[in-house]
Amino acid sequence: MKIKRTTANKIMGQASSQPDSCLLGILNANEQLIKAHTVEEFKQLLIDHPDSILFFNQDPLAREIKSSIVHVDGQQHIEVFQETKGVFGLRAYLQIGKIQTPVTLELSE
Amino acid sequence: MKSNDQIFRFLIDHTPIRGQLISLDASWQKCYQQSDASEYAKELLGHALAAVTLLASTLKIDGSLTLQIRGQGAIHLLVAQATNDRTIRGLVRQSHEIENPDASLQEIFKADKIVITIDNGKGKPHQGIAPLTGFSLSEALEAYFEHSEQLPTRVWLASNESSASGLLLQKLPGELEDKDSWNRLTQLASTITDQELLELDENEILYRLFHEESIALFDAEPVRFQCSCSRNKTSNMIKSLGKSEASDILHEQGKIQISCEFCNANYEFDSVDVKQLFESDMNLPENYTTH
Ligand SMILES: [Zn+2]
Repeated sequence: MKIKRTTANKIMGQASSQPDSCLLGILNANEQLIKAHTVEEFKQLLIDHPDSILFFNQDPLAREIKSSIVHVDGQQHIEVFQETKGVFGLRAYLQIGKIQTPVTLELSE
Repeated sequence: MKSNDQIFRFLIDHTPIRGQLISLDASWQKCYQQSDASEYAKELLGHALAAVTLLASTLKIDGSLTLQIRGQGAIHLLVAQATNDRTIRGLVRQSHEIENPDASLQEIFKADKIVITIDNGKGKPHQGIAPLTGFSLSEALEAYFEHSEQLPTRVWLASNESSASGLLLQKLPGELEDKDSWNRLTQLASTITDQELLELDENEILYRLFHEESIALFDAEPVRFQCSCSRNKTSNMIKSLGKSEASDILHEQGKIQISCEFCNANYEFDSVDVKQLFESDMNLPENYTTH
């Protein structure tokens, strides 16, 4: 999976500004960040932007909303993780069958 | 004369079998012209749009029905959506040339399922998943009907650059007076050619296929292309970014531009628009369209 370095920074910027709350949304086809706050909003975003990458942090609500949707093959996911408090990283996955398979996240300039 | 952008329902007398015929014309041409995918991919999109419109109309939903196939193949995304108001929109995305157009859908998409989402506007949408099988969308949908708890249903689909057409037959619950009628009528329907489906009007098609049956044909219902994107929805997306992210984009690009994947509509917000968005805490009314 390939996204712009500036996009990766934006996602991490969002994550660090709200480390303890639900972060969930999509990167649309132009890599614009669009956030969702409820299942309804998230569902609508995926319908309106089928060619998008979804991102989420490790907040339980984000996971819950994300898991309430059936993910189709080829859907790309980016997880924002926090191993040390305040230090964020990104992990990319590709939905293949029922499994989210880790893939390399390449950052372009 | 063929009826344009209309859906017709019919009942076959003395059988619990109903049907529908659809012809998408101007509504389809709009989707066709917006796509830069190959003819093959666009033909599939035409099939998908005819199919979702037929299905949405049999289910009497109060929202939308979306068919989606996503994969890693030459065609990596196909989305077709119809609403209860009989509006349609769709898109197809192709990443490289199709090496073998005679390959199965599974190979062309490098995907193994077809997902149909029925969103009734409230609560969790219902998602039906079936394996992606066969060489055409009508074959794949047959597998979907077998896998889901739907009534026995068959569809025949055709599309070219000017129309996307379809025929649906469905067996309603209840005993068949004539036990063989479902088999007989679906066999008759299977004799329809793409050309007939695309070029003949509803009376001619029904006569050619079922002239020995008595059929009740109901009034036509119009279908049109309409995208559900709006400036108001786009405003809410910008609001969801937050003030600082929005002003960063304005700073970098001078304006915020978001375009719709389905209809290519382009929504632009300059610094004055964005300032207004964050100053008014109220949501904009649904029909806010000022540019
Ligand atoms: Zn649109």
